[in-house]
Amino acid sequence: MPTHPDQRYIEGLLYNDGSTVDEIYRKYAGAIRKFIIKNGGSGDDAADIFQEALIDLYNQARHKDLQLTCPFEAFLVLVCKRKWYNLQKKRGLHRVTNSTDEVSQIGEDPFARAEQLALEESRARLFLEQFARLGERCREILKLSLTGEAQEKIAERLSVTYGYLRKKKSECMATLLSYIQAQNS
Amino acid sequence: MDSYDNEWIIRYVDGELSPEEAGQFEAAMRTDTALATEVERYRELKAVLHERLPGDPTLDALKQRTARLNEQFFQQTRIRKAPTLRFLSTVAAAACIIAVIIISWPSETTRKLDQLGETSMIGITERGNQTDTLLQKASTFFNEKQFDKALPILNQAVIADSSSQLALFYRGVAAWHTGDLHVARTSLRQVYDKGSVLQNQAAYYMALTYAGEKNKTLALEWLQKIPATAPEHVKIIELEDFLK
Repeated sequence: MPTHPDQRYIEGLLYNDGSTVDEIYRKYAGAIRKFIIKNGGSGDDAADIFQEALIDLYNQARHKDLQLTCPFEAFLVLVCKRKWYNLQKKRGLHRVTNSTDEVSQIGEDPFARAEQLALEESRARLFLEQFARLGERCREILKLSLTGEAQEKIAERLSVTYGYLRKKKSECMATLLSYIQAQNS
Repeated sequence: MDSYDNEWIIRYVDGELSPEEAGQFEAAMRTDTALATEVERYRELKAVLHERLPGDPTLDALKQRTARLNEQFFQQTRIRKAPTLRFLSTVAAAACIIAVIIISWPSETTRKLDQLGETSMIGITERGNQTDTLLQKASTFFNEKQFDKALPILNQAVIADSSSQLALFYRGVAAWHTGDLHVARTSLRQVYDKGSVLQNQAAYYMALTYAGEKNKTLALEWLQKIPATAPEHVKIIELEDFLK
């Protein structure tokens, strides 16, 4: 499926282009605000959802090469709706979805992509939140270990043995995994 | 996932198992979907940490930009004092008075309009000039829902300073509550035409004056003057729904 001309909005976010980001707010903030408020949220909820959705789009463009195949507005609305429904679910509130209408309006592909984006970004956020709960030493070891630098050099820099580094890294990851699993259970 | 814990998963994905151990682990994964799911989760975790732990200055800058724009496009009505500007100072006074006005009107329609017309004023910063002194005095009655008593004082405040948008605005609101629609609309219209920070609120109350008369066309016309990004949107949506 060809990339939509509205890909320029994604590029604007990717390069933090001031005029494009301003344009996004001017054109679409009102509609998202209206949707959230009509569905039981507050102005603050709308602000958070809108901002988070834009950051999610940035992350997906940066790390997953997000390509728009539908108008930006339709995709942004889908992402915001999905985020809002997830938040309501988290708050234990009933949610009403209109998936059939949305699919018929913008097609299955973008709909599935928006769903996937919301899920992936929600998981990424959870991972980073749980990572922040680790002790300072664990965070340092994992950060350095994931840079791709040789483990021997990292061990030297941290003034520990290679064996200790491997063991500690494994323990820290295991702790992080257990934090994440506890959140999902 | 009984036979393998997280450390096994990590060692498998990181390629630290012997060929024999890896083979046994893979055999277990084929029959244990929970184990396979956790392996996938760990792969995703590693990828996310690898991508996102290093600093990203563009992302940080984008977050700052969107935070600023959020303030601009989503902030609720917050009127701040700016001592150098008399007008803004007067508006700051409005932010400091609070009165929740609930009048027991007989019908469901009027009760709803009353709810939609609730006015909050939080305190007052007195600077000592005549208009502010009158506003302070009027606010006492306003807070006690004695609009018939607040109205003449607000009239005096407007006479003392006909450019006071705050005096005009609250005179309009008080007049609306007392049923003096002519004074209400004249005052609110002036505030609207002036284009001050109270413009959208004035348009909203203009809509309410027409909604009370069941003049749906003019009420909606006034609501349409308020930009979609205005912070008054919560009540606007309610009033629109009510009118429709």
